[in-house]
Amino acid sequence: MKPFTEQLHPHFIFNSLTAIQELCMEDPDRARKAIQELSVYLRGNIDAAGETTLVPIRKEIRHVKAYLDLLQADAPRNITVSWNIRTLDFRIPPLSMQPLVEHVIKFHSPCTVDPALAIKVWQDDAADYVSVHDDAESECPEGADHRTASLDRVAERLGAICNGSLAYDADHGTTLTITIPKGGNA
Amino acid sequence: MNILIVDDKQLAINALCRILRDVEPDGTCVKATSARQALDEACRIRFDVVFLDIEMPGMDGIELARKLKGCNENVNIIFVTAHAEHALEAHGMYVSGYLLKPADEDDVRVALSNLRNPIEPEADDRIVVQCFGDFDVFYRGEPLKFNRSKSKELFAYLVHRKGARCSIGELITALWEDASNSPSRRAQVRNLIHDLKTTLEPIGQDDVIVRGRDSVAIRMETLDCDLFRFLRGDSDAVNLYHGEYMAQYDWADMTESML
Repeated sequence: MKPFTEQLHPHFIFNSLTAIQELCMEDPDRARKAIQELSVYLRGNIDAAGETTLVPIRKEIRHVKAYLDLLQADAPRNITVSWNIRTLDFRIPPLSMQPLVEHVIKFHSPCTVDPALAIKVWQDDAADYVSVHDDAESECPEGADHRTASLDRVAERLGAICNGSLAYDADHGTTLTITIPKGGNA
Repeated sequence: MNILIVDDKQLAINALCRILRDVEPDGTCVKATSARQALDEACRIRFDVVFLDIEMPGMDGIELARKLKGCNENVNIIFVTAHAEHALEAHGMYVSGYLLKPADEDDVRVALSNLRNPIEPEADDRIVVQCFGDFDVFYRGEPLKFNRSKSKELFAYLVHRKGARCSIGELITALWEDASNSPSRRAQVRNLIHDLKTTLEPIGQDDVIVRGRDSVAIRMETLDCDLFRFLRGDSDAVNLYHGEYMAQYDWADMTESML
């Protein structure tokens, strides 16, 4: 898929629209809410296309919340998320967080246990951090390399735009951590 | 038409089901949210069409399609996807068609009109009842023989009452104008009902009559009846009416003017 269309996530969009189509009949209030969340999600993706300007972390968090809301609108499993936000005082390349959340959910295993994510945003003197953690083991795709193309893209953009990095830790569940050094970004 | 919808997302299933109720009102929809459930259902029920979401996690669409064909080789499989990709072309072997989500009525109508294995329409093996003109009853083209003319009249009355439950008392009044609600009359009515059953059972149509504690009725949907079709607005049935309704029976007189 071309990078632009992949950024738009057509599967996710059309699945959301299908859910909304039905919600219009079953529960119009939820349909209204879902349309609102889809707008937030799409705006984040469309605005980010080709952009190298950083966005406030608050915006990224909102984008992830819209993504999770839409996922949950029609999901076979319940996804619980706990948020631990210590700072909102930095900027990040757009569409850095959502791929992390998507990856962790997609490769969550076993199927019998619902995903329970912990998302943390904090800072210290050296850098700002965003981490997405799933207690369950990640189910690695074939081959030893647990990174996927979309995670690689996030890592590339972090490095190119703000000297940041993405770490993948598969001990004690799965943890993806973004590190953005201070003083290097606008 | 038996239809199976397979998708791990409940709203997506409901959306397709809703469309199918509109496009194929005589069809029956069964829902499955996993490959396992789909196969369990397919072994129980012979499906004509399966709508299969190919993005369900942990399942290969082609593999499931193959297994479904194993349960019924003539099943029509329609792959459903939110976004078409090149890989779909390779799936052509088992597939009757593709559907993109969200689907609309036209998409589904087209898919069902172009099935790889077309479905034969079920033969209508119901009893045919004629109310316009003289009352008569046919089965597979032949007049149905009632043991007693009074049994036939009872049957006519139940049809005339359009599926309403008739009490034994009501039936006595209808069938014998001068009669009282005596035990012997009640026994006679019961004999007539029994007689109807012995006429209907040999031709496998005994579910036409439904018995209550002190009542009896016919099930309208088990009969192909000109009166019922007339009342539903069927234009062919309207043309059949030429002023006479159950001509042999006095109690039917009033209805003629209503029609």
